Formats: sequence, C-alpha cells, structure tokens
Amino acid sequence: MKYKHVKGLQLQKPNNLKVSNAKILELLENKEVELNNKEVAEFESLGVQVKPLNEKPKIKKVKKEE
Amino acid sequence: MAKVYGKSQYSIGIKRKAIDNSSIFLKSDAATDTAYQLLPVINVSAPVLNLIESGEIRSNNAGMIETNLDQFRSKKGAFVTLDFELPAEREGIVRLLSNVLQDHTQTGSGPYVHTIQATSGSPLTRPDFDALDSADSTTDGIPSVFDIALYGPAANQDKLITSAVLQNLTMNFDMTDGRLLLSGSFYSGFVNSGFKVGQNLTGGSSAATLMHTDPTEIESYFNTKTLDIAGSATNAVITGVSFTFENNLARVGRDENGDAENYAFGVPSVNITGEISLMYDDNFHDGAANVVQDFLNGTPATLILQQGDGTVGTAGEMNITAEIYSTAVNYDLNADTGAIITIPFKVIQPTASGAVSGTAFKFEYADNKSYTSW
Repeated sequence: MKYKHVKGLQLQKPNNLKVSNAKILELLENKEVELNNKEVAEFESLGVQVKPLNEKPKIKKVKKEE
Repeated sequence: MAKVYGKSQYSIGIKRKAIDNSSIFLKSDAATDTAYQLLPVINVSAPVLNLIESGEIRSNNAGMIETNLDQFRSKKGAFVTLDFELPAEREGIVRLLSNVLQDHTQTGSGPYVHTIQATSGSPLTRPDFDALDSADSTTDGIPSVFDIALYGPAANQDKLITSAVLQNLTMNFDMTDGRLLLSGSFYSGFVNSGFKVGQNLTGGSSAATLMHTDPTEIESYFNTKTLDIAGSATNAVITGVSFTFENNLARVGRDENGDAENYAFGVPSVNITGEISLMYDDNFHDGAANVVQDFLNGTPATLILQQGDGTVGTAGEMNITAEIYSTAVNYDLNADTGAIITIPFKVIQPTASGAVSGTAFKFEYADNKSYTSW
C-alpha cells in the first residue's frame, strides 16, 4: 500500500532505519511511497506518522456472455 | 616496555541502583555482576577522591618539618566526584536530566513521553533517598540513584562507585559541533566502604552494554525557538543556548564506616541557569520596548525551544519551556555571524498575585526507553 508522510520522520537517523534511504527521501519530499507491513511497523514503533492512501476501488470485469 | 594506554580504553557504565527490601538503599555496594550501560563519554576523567585531611606539626620535634606521624588522612567522611562530557543520545538524556532534578513522569507505551518539570502545579520535590522501597513500587524511577562502573584498560583494574547522583549537569546545544553536548559530575558520599578499586568487572556474569546499539544523537536545532518581547513570543535566530542544572547535593551524616547516612538535595535551592545567544535583528534589538529594555526593567521572558511540531509523541521530539530572568545582557557586535546578543539567565518560577503560577522549567522528550530499563 502507498503512504504519505505526516510527521516525525525528519527526526530519525536514516542509518538506524531498516526502511531504505530512497523511500525515506521520497517520503520527506511528500511523495507517495509503497511501504510493506514491516516498514509501517517500524515507523509506528517510533511514532512516525504516515497515512495510507486509499486504494482505488477495483473495477469488476463483467464477463461477456457468449 | 610498559604499554601506553589511550582514553578509549577506559569506559564508564551506569546502572540505576537496584533497590530491594533486604538492603538499605544507599548503603549497599555497587553490583559487580550487573550489565552496566556504557556512557558515550568523549572526555574521560578519573574519579576525584575528596578525602578528609588534616595534621600539623606537633611538639617533641626539634626540626621544623612535619613528620609522617603528624599527618592525618581518612576515607571516612569523604566524597567522590566523577566528571564527564558526552554527546546526548536519544536513549540517555532523560535518564541524566531526571537524575539531576530528581523529577520524572512517563506516559505512552513506546514511544514513551518523558516529562521533567518544575511548575506551579507540579513543583520539584526533595526525594527520599534512603527509602526502603522496591524498584517496582518506586514510581517513575524517582528517586534516581546510579551505581557507576569504571572499566580500566586491563583485568583487575576496574573501579566501582556506589549510590551516585548527578550534582550538576550542563546541556549545551552546540551549534558548531552540531550536537547537544552534556557535561556534569556525579557525586557519591560513599568512599570508605563504597568506592572500590581493583575490581574485575569484565569477568562478571553480565558484560557492559551500549545504551543503544544504533544511537541517535540529539542535534542542535529547533523547529520553534521563541523568546518573549514585551510579553509576546517572538521568533529568534539562536546561535547558541545552554542550561546548567545544579542541585547542591551533599552528603549528610557519618555512619559506622564514615559513609553518608543520607543526601541533602536542593538545600537551599535547585539552580537552573543558562545562556542564550541570538541575532541582533528586526525582532531583537535596542528598541524602546524590546528585549533589552525588558530585561533592564527586570521583566522575565518565556523561552520556548522545540524539536518537532510541539506535540511530543514521535521519538526524538523535544519541548523545552523556561521562564528566564536575565542576569546580564552582552553584545558581541563583531561576531563572525553578525551582531549577537548574549543573555545569561537564571530560570525562575513565575507568580501571579504573589502566588506561584505557571512554568519555571519543563522538558518533554519522546524516546523508546522506559524508565524501568534504566
């Protein structure tokens, strides 16, 4: 799922995080970043707030009747 | 040839004094088998023993030089101090600040939000150092007393200090270094029986550990930094700020070993002083109703320093609020970075209609370390 940064990431030392530097930079630039559950859990343990972006509703494909 | 040792071969570990109902709090020896947590000390000092010394020339001495028989020296009644300087790390700062002010409350479950404060609603109180209490029932880690291990460069050269409390601590947000630097001195009134040399702590059952294996240094910057001008919080460009906490800790009494029977804390007072340097600019200048005139009039000002957005909850967020009273105002008009106003100050408790009201000093910080693991 994609997330956006809300607050607190700039106070963390990137070297100490398991989240990649590239993702950290993108989050700090207010970009939407794909994070897995472990990465979200690491942020939660530090109180870093990220907000999930609503996934687009999947459009059901209707099978054409033959 | 003998070895030449470097300062990095010495290390200092602290551990909250273990309290149990079977021993008297202050008098029990420092543990030899506990996992001391190493301070990230950058300037190591040896403990300073302040022994009782006296003696004078006696009669029956035809010469004019004192003899060895004239001398008196005793560890009974003595105290030991240990100076240190270290960069503040996220996992250690609260432990040290709460120790010197003997105040601490904690909320949250990780991150933990620590508050150390002297306010009208929550004033500093003198701790009961010799309470016979269990660690679990000591709320929020106060009273806070440390055992200290000094690791020497070789086996059987370690030292132990028991029941030490910080006597003073300086927090210096050093803009040149870039980090918050802490310096201070521990004090123990247990020299005769409590100060031990020739220990072999590395051979104990628990090796010393780092306070944190991935330390995060506290940096010297603030998202919010305001000082009151005529009662209005005004943004300042700060080039340096420091706080010094002094609690006037002193040993009281002499037991059968000549050791302290208790510690006096904050007698007659706890003093918080400091110094702030800020840019002489459109906000802070010599105008008629500006910062200098305020201080000349004896008007205190509220200093607010914040790392983060002001709502402390994320690890690393910090709020400092202090009511400061200028003890002088100096200018450095020739500073490399422009004209700088330096204000030495002391922290005071504000009042309203003669009664204490508001915040003298408040420090809030979030980290991932509960006081139970100090």
